Amino acid sequence: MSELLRCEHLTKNYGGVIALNSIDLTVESGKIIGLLGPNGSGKTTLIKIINGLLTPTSGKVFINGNEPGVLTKTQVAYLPDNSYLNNWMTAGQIIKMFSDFYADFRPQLALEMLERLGISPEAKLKNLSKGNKEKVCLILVMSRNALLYVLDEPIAGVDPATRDYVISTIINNYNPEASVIISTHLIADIEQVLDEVIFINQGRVALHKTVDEIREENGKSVDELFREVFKW
Amino acid sequence: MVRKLLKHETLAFGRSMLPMWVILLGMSVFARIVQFFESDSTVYDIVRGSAFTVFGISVAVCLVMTVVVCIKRFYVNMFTGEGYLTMTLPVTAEQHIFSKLLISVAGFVASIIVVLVALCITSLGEVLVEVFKAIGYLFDKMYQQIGFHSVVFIIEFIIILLVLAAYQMLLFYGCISVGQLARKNRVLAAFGAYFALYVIEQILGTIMVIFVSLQMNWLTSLFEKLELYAIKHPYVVAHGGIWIGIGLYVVIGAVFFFVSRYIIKNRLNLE
Amino acid sequence: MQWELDKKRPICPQIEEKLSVMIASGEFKPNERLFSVREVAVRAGVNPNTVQKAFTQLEGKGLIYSVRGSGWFVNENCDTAKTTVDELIRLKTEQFFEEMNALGYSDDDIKQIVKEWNE
Repeated sequence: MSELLRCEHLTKNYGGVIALNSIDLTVESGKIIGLLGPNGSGKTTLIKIINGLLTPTSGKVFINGNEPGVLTKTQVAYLPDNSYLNNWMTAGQIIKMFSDFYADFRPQLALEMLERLGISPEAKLKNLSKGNKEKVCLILVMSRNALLYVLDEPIAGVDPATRDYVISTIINNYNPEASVIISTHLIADIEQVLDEVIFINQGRVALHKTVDEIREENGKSVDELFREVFKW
Repeated sequence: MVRKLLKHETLAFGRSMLPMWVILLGMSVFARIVQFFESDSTVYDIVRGSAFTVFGISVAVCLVMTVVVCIKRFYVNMFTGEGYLTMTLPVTAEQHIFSKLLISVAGFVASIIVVLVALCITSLGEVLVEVFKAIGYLFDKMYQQIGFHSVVFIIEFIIILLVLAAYQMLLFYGCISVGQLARKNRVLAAFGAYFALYVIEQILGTIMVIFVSLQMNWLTSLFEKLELYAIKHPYVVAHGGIWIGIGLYVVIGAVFFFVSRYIIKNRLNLE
Repeated sequence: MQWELDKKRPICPQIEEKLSVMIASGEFKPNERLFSVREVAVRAGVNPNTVQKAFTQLEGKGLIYSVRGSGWFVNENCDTAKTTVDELIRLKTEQFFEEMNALGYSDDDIKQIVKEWNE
């Protein structure tokens, strides 16, 4: 178990609005971690900094010892919270594109998962249902053999069947050397899968514990604790 | 990696431009066909006239569209929703800019070739033969008078066109990237950057004019010396002038390249 | 997600209990191959690391053994499984009594209710 992600005094300021306030955080390999917090708490900001899409105002973030850059992008698999793929492309074309650019991408695995869902590689993304589109996005990410998977709100706004699919796809493709960070505000749906949780609120880490610690110390589910911590 | 980027860039660019090229060529064929028939009917005259008008408009639209697609490819692919994928590919900023620049220039050349081919189609037949004859005659004359320098001038002309196209793209890239530094209204900020550059350029130009018109002694004597030299070695001055111009655009273009690279690499803030 | 788990208790012991019950009830025979870690994780919808931990705990208790490269198998001696199940039954009974007490029933009331319910 080695250190995979480290944030040092990570701060992000959007012209006066503090999205992240001097976050210190360490994540080890071999864990599934829930990044939990209400909307606007800074989850997506943190995730975008990890992926090099945002530049921190101050502080640093290291992925496997390196700051976000070309090297870390070969090691981090990222599922954004919005649809980011070209709608005119077919699922097969996108799979080809991913195998072109990511050395760790396993196109065979992606095609198998598509087939199991009954989605044709010739299907254009714009012709897929919302649920299927989200599944394709997840398949692309989980078909990489990455060190760190960062999934931003993978179960927000999906129906229960899709949610179950998302969770079992994550479990099925989980590799014990990697870590998975899942951001969500829907904790009850996902807490059984988690090793650790990071509660984030108003740009600060409110709590970072293993799930078993929470259950043993408080005799509560993570969801119940979350509701107590974030009372409004 | 650059090769793969170029492949995907070409696909995306071709997807946007190919229909326009096909339409343009189709229009040129139509404009040629209507010339085959003679008729006294005014309706036919109108059709024939408007075929050329529409063809002319298509040429303009094609050229404008090329520029728009070049700019859009950069902006949309890097700085909007698509940027979430583009910017998480294991590719450096310079590779991104370089591949987009190369495909933009190539796309521009392709558009010009398509326009030239379309023009040839509209005048297919005796007219075209005459045009080519005239061009050949002009070149012959030029070659007789200035020898191999005519070839060099043509090559230099083509290089200038390519460098200017690349410079123009890099200018757009630079402005779009600078616009990204703004917190809100980033497209507006890009236009602002473009306008600011224009103003700076005008001011520099004015300063130059004032500078020259001051008629300082050393400057006047420098011009006189240059004139004398130009009379003795006209080609050295002509080629030299062209290459100084090319060099200037390359240098300023490189500045825009590095500005864009710096912003994408160190100041990226995707919304 | 076929296995229902109690979210208020740590997951690992619950997985242990589930598997113990399956072994004790004979659903898995001695020397039979057990689910893989991933299978259990997907069925229960839980973290594979937790399942791995539960398997290791069960191995420590002597219920199962692992064969390199082919997975987990049920041990010959299933007494330990029965002990684990006994413990579970005691725990469940305790919980039941606690809950009923909370509703205001005395232990005698509960015995009466169980008797009536049985008939």
